[in-house]
Amino acid sequence: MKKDRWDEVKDLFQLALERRGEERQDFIEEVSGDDSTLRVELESLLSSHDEAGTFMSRPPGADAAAVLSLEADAPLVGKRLGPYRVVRRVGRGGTGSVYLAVRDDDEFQLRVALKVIRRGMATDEMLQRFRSERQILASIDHPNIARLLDGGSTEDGLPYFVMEYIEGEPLHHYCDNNRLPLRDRIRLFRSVCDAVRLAHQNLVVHRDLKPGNILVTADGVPKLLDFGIAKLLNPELSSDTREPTVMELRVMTPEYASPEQMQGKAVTTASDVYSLGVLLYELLTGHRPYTLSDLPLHEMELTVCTAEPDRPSDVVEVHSEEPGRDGGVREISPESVARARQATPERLRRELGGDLDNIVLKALRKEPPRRYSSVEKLADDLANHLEGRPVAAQPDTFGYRAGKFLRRHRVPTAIAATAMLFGIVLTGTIFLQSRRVAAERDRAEHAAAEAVAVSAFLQEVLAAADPIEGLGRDVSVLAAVEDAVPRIGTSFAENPEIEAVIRYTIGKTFARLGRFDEADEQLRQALTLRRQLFGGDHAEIAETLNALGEVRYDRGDFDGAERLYDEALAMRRRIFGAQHADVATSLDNLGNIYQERGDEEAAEQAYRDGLAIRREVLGPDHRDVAGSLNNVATILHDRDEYDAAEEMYMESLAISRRVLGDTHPEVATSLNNLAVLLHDRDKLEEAEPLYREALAISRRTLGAQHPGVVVSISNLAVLLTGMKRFPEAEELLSESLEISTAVWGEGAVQVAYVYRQLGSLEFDRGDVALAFEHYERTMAILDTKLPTDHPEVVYALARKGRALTALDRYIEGEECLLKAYNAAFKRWGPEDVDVLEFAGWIADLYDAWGRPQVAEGYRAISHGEAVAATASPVVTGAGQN
Amino acid sequence: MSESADNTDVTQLLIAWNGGEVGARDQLLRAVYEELRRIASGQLVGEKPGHTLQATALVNEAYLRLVDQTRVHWRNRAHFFGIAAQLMRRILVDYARRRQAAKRGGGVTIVEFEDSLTPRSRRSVDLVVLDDILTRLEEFDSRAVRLVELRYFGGLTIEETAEVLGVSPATVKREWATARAWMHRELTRSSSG
Repeated sequence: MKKDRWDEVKDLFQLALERRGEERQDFIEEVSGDDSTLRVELESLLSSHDEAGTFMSRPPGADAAAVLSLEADAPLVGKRLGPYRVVRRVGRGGTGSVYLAVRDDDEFQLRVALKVIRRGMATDEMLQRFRSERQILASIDHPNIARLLDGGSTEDGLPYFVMEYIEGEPLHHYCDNNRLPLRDRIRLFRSVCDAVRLAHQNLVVHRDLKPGNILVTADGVPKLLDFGIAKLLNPELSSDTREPTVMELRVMTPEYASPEQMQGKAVTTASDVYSLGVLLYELLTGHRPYTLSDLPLHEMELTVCTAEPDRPSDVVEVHSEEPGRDGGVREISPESVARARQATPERLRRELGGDLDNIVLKALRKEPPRRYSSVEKLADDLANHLEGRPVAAQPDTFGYRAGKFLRRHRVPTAIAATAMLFGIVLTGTIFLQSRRVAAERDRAEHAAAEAVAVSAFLQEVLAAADPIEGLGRDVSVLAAVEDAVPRIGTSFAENPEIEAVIRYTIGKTFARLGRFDEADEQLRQALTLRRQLFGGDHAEIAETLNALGEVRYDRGDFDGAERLYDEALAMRRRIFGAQHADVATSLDNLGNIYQERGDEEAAEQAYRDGLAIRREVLGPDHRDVAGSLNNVATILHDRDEYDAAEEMYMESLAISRRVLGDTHPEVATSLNNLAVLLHDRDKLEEAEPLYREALAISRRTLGAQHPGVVVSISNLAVLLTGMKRFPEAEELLSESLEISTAVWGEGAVQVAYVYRQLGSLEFDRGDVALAFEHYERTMAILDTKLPTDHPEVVYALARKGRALTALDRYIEGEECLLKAYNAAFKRWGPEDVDVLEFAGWIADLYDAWGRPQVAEGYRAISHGEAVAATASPVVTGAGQN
Repeated sequence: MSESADNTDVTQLLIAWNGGEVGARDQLLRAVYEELRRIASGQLVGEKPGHTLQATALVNEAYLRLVDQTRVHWRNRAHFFGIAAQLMRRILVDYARRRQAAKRGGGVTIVEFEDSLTPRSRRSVDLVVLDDILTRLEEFDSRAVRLVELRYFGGLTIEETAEVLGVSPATVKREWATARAWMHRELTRSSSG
């Protein structure tokens, strides 16, 4: 392609990318005109962009450091090492290279495998340890164990180990290539167990059992390689409890490593039981219990420690992909798995269900004491199964399985594996960071730069877990965050700056997840830390004040929120001047408070000021501009300036869709608000699909139990009530009530709103008594939380009065309705729709009460035939007659 | 080159190269390569094990070790990261090429020695093909290639890339999206055709 042409294509592509749907199509038509090559080019690039997924979003598959340090190992082929002549390299990896060598000082040539430890892994102590342990290792004489013969060091000082050379193929390949049925696989596996048992009797733990370390010879005899090697590389692993270094992790294989190995805790024979469990799982099902290959180290660690594997009988029904040996992808299907075992998928599932599920999962339990107490017991239980005797393994109860990780809170429904994985990222990161921070402390010259990187990284990871930022994640991220909290204090005791960042980030995440108590706590601590660190005015202090204010706002503490916002705004103006995005944020937040309190004028001012700043600073196409537009629109909406409001909502929605994509939570907010407006204008049919789209987005991105979902549900319910679709509406409102109570607590205003809606639903359906009960609950809450002239109070009060009318309780009804009417009149003036509506309800009341004259006066007002300007005090008087 | 790659030298080289001394680039490449290797194999005296193994970490660390940050201009920094990212590309691609060659020439059953952290990725991109595609892209959009190197091989974030290239993050995002779309398309074509 010519450069000029490409530049043109590129520009057009980028412009097209900013457009969506038809708009994009139109754009392409327009710019390509007759140039069909250009059109094809643009369309293929755009579809490639949509299909690219995670393409290149992860670092290249190869581990840069491993590759680089492999470079450092000079090839040994053709050289002599002691009595051995190196023939060729047969494998290599993170710990070093394996060569085929022959011992040719004898008359007959003994073929051996020679494992040379890579530079950086090798130490002098390793060789010393080797010498001291080689007696033990050499004494393990078992037909299924490849013997360790010798050891030494190369000219360059790299240690090597010499083992019996085994020609064969890895266990699982052997089984698959020979299409061994389950029983044969189990028999083969039992002979592996027997070899491990013997080693355990000699107090040697393998620590790195995996298919690649178990070769099956042409005669069908399995041979275990590398016994004792892992321990030679890492003697400390068994002796104390601490976090393993990356080097140590390199020695084991995460897929087969036990939780205690991943955590660097004491490794015992139980760890080998676990690794054998993974092996057995894979042999029987063709799948591994977890998919780790895509994950960074720290995520692997947490997956192994927390994720529950699928039952073998379930996993064989799964389609999945695994990295193939050539770096490609290998498809695993129920059919391919069954075929390799000479079975049908159905039969395989049946054969695995029950005993084998229980046996495998018992070997794989996270806690060593809950596994088989020895390899022998595992082998025995497999024999029990083969011979039709009852097995010792019992299914784990779910209660325990959900276990530790989720102990402190209720998690909505089933926990998806991905969600667990995701949660894991958070804790994992904190672990990793704490570890790195500790190491960095020794290197003062890098400490500061590193700290910034650490924090930024953590923030990024946590932000990805945030349901708003990391689209469509499951709420059980919560579990991970909660789990991480107790560790923060100790992990960062000497680095308050990082601690503050982490508490701040976690606090924000809690808040977005709707966990306000925890959010408040973390943010307060972050604020304290930052005040200590930075003293007076500082952007990060303002940021924390603001975040804490948002939490107070979300939980309904408007006074508390206002104080914090005010302080943040003043500080930001001092730091940044008047024209700054952060100042706009503060204004926006204050606007929320004013609006909640019913001070619409102040709210509009704040929103519009914020909007102006944002347009100026951020440009017209920015999500925050969409947010500001939305906020101003809500004010116009409240004031019944429908046309202006609709226009602003549309503009806001268009920006959100453009900038954030169609499934972003903020798009849901825009959709919702626009729907409410249409709803208010009685365009019910138009409103319904918008509500439904908003609800679908909220559920998907926030999880079923998020406060954001409540708003969508409630609105749709009200709409359905209006359309007389009561059962649908009731179902939605019950869900909404449940979520609101769980999230905000029983006495929260948000809960009151749901009761009010339930009341209206029952009233419209004709169950007035029940409606009244709901209104009473509404008022009981609102009376304590909001000023008496707050719109929500006024609405609820009027509706309670209307219900009382229907219940023939006129005196009480009159009191409620008049109070509401007066408050509404004072607030919105004589021509307001609500005021007129309330007047109608008062007329209904007096009619029912048998006071037609008074009723007539209000009826006239409600029809706009009488001027209500002076009605209010008179009305009150009339009511008291 | 063993201890000569101290930070004065590299800083000097960076400044010299930036000043138009073309020869400085080769020396820089060597110095950075040596340093990357040293860091990767943990050979440094008194070094504790426990390094992160990602390219980003390596590159950042090399920078911190080699460059006297008080003396360099952001442009020097940009050059450094550009060089390091190109190096990472070369190292990883060469490695991938050799692995391919070994596989073709093999014939013997190899005991795959499956170590924990050896190259693997579920949907790993074929680096050799990717490299060819990048070479083609170089013909008409070398800036995009630099960007891909920084982002993908150097592991830099959008913001870091923006800083190094001296453009806005929004530009990096747009250019990255474009390059990615183009490369993805070419890769798909090369694998299906």
